[in-house]
Amino acid sequence: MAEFLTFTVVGLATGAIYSIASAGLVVTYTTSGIFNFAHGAIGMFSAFLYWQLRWDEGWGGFWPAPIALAFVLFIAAPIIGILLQLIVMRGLEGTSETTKLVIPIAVMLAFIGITNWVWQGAEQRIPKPFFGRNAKWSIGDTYITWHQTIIVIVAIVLAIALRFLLFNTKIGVTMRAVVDNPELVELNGGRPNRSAMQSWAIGSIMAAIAGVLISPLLGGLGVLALTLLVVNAYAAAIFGRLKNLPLTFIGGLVIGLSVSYWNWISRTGQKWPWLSELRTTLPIVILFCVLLLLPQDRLRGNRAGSLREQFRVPSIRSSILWSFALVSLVSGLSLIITSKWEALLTRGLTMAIIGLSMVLLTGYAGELNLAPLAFAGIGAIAAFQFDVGSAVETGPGFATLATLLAAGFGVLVFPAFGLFKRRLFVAVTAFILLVFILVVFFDGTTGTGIASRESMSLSGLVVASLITASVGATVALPAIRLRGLYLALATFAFAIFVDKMVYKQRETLTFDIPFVGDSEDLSINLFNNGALNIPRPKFWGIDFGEKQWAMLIFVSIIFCCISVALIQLRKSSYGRQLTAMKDSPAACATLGMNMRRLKLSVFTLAAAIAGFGGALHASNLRTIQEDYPFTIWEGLALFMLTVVGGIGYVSGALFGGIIYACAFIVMGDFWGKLAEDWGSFDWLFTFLQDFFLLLGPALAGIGLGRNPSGVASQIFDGFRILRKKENNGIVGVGSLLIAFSWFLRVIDVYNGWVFIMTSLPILFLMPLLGEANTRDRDRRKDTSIEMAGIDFGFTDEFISFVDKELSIPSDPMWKESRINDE
Amino acid sequence: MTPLLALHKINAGYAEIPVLHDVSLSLYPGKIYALLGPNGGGKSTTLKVCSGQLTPTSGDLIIAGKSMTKTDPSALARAGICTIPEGKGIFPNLTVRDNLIMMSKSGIPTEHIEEVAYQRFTQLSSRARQTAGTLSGGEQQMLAMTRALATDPAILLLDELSMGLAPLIVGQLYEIVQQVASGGVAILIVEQFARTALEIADTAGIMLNGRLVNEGRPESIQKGLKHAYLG
Repeated sequence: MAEFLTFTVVGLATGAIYSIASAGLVVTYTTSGIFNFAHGAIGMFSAFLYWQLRWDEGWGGFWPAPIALAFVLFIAAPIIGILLQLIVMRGLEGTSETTKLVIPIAVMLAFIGITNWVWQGAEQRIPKPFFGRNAKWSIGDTYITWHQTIIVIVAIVLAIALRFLLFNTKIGVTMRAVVDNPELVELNGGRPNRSAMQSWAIGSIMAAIAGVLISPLLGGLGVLALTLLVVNAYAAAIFGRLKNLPLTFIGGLVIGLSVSYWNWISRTGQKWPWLSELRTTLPIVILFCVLLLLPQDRLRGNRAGSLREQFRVPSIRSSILWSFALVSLVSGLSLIITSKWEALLTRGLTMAIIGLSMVLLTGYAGELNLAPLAFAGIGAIAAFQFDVGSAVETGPGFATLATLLAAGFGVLVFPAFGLFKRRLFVAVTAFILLVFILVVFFDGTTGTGIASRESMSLSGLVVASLITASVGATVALPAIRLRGLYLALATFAFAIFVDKMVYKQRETLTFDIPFVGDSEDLSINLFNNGALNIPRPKFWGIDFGEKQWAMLIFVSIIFCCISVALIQLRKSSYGRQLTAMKDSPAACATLGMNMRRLKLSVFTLAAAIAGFGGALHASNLRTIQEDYPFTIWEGLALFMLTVVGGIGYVSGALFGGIIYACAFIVMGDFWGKLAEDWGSFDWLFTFLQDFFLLLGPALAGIGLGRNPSGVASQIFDGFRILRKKENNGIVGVGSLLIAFSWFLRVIDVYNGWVFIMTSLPILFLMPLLGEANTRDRDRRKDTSIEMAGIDFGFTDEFISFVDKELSIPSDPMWKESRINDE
Repeated sequence: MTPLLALHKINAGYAEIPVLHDVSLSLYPGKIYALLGPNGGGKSTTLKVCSGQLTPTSGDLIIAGKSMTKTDPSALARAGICTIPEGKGIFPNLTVRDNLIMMSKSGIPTEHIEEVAYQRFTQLSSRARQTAGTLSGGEQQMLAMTRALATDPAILLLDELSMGLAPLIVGQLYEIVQQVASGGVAILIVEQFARTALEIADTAGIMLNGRLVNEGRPESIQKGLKHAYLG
């Protein structure tokens, strides 16, 4: 009984913190319509700030608790909230759900970056609870610390105060009214911007309170741990459907208590070792379940033209041309860059392949998925397990598994392409046969050699993507009726789950298949002691393990193939269905479209691409670890950068992948090198290096608000002018110059820097020159038809031109009469 | 008598497209001005200029003798101009009561506002705690009216009050408009369906292609109507 009480008290205290944090989230959401992903990060930052002022032995340090508290909660936190609203969130009006989600994610990454930057080093930072560790009182045998008591009291007071503010005061009612209709608020004399700022200030204070209160319960301050802890509050907020405060508070308590009771039952995870991480993931599991149990969202139709995002669809011809251009560019580059750069570029391209899964799922179909790298990670693990590891016996077992997966994939995906009944049967059978032949004949899996395989096989990649596809379908199946933010949160929960339960899994799981063999038919050691070695592929006599350039070109070809296929898909009837579903689910429903099947198929397909890309990425890296490269944080960064690039374009994925893998490292390196060379400006360059490494991605994301259609489209728009006939000369000369510069670099006349410094300016001058040229031409031939007879005479040439434009047969009579007139 | 609100040679438009050309009109206390005309004539744009939602490219918005051309809508609202925009004059996710409280000026107790509101529209009192979006179209428009009147405005701008409503309810709403006018409020009604509006108006104007083509007593306007609508 005493034990039960102890765990109840602990659960109530943490639950109360979740309640406070989630209430803050609800306040910002109900008053600005933006789900503040950065909420946890604000709490984390405030906890660090408080620690700095209160406990650090360096600067700041040893402020009296009330002053430090007042500073953090009533000065720093509201300022953060107000600045966020002013600088970032205000620009989100009229943007899509994707953009509204990505920008707070960027802010979150920025806070993580800043905190990592300011509080560098592995120093232990241990905040103490209020009134010290020994200040406690007791009920019977159960001790309750003052810190816990304070938490619960603060939660109750805040709950009542918030409820009163939002529902009984004019300020609160105005805040809620702003979400409904800011224009009307303005017409009634209210100031929407001021209301939004107030709510962001309040939300940020709540996050700070939660952060300061929870940090002493953790033992030490950790950036990611604290951020994730407040993420647990998301589950509580969903309990209240993001608007009901009392339910939100109850949700927080339920989560706190269930984690605490689970710790009690499982003896802090020691009882069932393979479930040991459940104590940190339980809130996320609850989040997933609550999302599934929420009442169905009403189908909504989007207002036409209401969004600032617009994506064009490229033609197949141009996409193939661009593919050739990309592959030849990459091949050309591979001749002149060092192997370090080759490795970075390959990494970027494999990431871009994973990014393509997001283009399909989020860009084309409008379904938000925050777990792209979780799927990629599963692909990598599957490739390891089934190609390199020893989870599945080779031979018939492997072939059977592959066939089953292929069948499932076919049945899920093919109907969406309009294959039914007999044609479906034929298509699925053909697909199964294809996979079977691939696995059995081309991989020689009839023997027992896979465990010691030294190279990744093609069938390994295929099976990896099929397995990921089946996982994708399994995740999508329950989540299929979720949309927008709720779907994003569900996938986010899945990503955290994979992070904790799969990547950190150290136990060997054994399964007994009834009636077959002994008691351990299948044993999987999911994540071999924290690192998996996955070899490079090797076929057609090319050893991709030794030749980085071969891997680079191979990956670029694969990227292009998938891209062209995706563009073709987008132009097919399937693609049109996806777009229709994205634009207006309500209209689709009235047309009788089966949206469940459509969603399931697109999820499956996207997961397959992600799994394939993940296996390829892992194989390129050779080793993956539990904390690199497939974690939730990396996944969010990739998602964000792909959206920055333009999630509706395959080039957006390319941009996202390359920038993610290379750009910030390159910039960091650049400044780092300068810092080395110029010792006296060391501090400045080191600053810039840290700045780009830690904050680069986040800032790129925050900048998105200005151009929600993405950077790729902007670049393409810039170069569009070069397609005009009159600019052919400029393109020709420019390309020749760049090719010449490349040639000089190949024969080692000068080094890479000179090549970049000569070719980049030429590249960017081309569209500028083209524009000037076109404008010049336009001005010279500004002879609009209306001016005929005024600015210029009716020449025969002009008349036959007009006749041709109007498709009138030339009239000899008219000409005759004109001659007579003259 | 000086007008409460006057537009003087207003030119306005959206982005590159000019919509209004030299529009001038005046609203007087206690009088109802009905602005009529077919779709796309510039009626709602005129109203947006009056409420400050759209800054004119040239011309003056004069309120009680003072030029307030570039004042933002919230300041105009506080100065006593109350607008009920077309079809969305309420906050659908707030309760009826919240909608009423929302616009109470400081100084007037909320109980008083509620009391007056429920007296005017008895149906609303039983729905005080219901979400406004779940009310019927007529009730929503009544709520919008009540909410607007709670601010005790000097000028009331109504955009398409009758849109999508049953004739009976429209009649009821217009009766209230008349009552409000008799209390000294200057009222501008923008309407596509002219007949009912003309019945209560003191002055009427017809807008065609962004120009005020005819202005005068309702009876005289009535004759020109057919021509304006049918071309």
